[in-house]
Amino acid sequence: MGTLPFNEMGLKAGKATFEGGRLKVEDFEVTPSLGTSVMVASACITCEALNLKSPYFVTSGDIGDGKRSKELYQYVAANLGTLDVTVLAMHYIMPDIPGMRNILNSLREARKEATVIADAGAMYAAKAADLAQKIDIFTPDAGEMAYLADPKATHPAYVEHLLFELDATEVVTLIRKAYETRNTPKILLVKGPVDYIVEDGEVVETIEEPSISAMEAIGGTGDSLTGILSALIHGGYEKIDACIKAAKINRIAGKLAEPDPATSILNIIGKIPDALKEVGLCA
Amino acid sequence: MKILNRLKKRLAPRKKEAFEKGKGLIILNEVSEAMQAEKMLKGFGYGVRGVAPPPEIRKGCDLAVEFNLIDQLGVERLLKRSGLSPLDIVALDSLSQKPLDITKEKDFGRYLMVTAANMKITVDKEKGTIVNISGGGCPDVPYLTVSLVGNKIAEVENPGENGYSLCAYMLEKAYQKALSMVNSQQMRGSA
Repeated sequence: MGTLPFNEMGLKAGKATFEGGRLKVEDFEVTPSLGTSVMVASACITCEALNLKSPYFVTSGDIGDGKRSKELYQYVAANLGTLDVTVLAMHYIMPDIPGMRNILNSLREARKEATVIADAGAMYAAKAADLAQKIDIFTPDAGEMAYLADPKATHPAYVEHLLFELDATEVVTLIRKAYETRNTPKILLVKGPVDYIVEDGEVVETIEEPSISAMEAIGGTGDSLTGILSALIHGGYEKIDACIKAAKINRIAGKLAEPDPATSILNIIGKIPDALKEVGLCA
Repeated sequence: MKILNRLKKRLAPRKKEAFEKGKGLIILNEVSEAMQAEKMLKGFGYGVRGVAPPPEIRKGCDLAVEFNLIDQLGVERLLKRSGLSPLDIVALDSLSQKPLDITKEKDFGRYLMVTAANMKITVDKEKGTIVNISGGGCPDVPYLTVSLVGNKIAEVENPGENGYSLCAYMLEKAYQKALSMVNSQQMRGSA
């Protein structure tokens, strides 16, 4: 679930497909660019390559005033009980503490065994609401890790200077601090020059190859990672294993696209099938 | 007994967390300005209310306007358009906290990336175009990305003019820094 940047678009819910560079849901289609569209397109590509059922996409148009984000929170909370959910990936959305609380309550009441992943605005909302521990996986970058490590901050814009100024190599310090203040779920996939897979506050794996520095500048590379991760867990991979594989696949897709900082994310997600082959997940 | 319990519940102090988490305060000069701001923001659909400012930040009137911090950019823009100049805008969770005002820069040779909090903007130094925007989590970031990427940084509308959220607020900071660096580089190049 997540918003798309269209002012007039009402709520849409249905099977998502990605064909010819266009993401489709119900009667709506869009060329993916930074945000939820990349996350869902990447999940579609991964599911198709692995012969898995396509993702179900719940979205609404929001350009930042938050009105349709509220509708989205309400719709998902009201309908979770009737949906066959294995993975709930929550993405770009106006952070809303009651909205996030309602979704997580609804999930608990429906006794769903779904894996809950929060990235982008959904991650900000879960942390701000002190609900990080009700989520299974967060996928922050270093800047967002500083936000999780700052117990007072309710948005990454309000992070303490000292935490923001920490170098990317000091991510482990932020991970430890965030875990101590109970602002993390059980699992973190921290994306950056080095990807850290963290369980219960301990780094269990690091992935740094292939190293493509330009990817840091390309909008959507974190979104594609979340989409791949969601699809792998949906496909039955255990959470930590899925995090490790997703990080590798995302990096390999980046390498295959031979990017520079001006490359479009579309070029990278187009390489996901080849990256899946390279790690041996499909023929 | 039931009525007594209900009354007790109603009069009991409300949980601090439920009311102050993620909230900010707009401090204005006079009560009349605060009332005007509250009415105007409500009219635009913002969840705001008039509250007494805490003593430590009382700078002018005895009425402040509480709002959701996430809406800060949209709120500030509307205040400006209405001719209201707040004395201060603060986060209620920590009254001394202000949005980050520092940026980090990374040079990729032809390209320059500027990071402000969770937002990154990358520009082609030679052409002066915005080539990528990354990060953020609020819905206006993908919206602003569509209008900014591929265009010249000196010719686009500031993200702050069209954004609403704190993510857009930080994108504006990254944008301003990148703009000044591109301008100074181009000035050096033409000298």
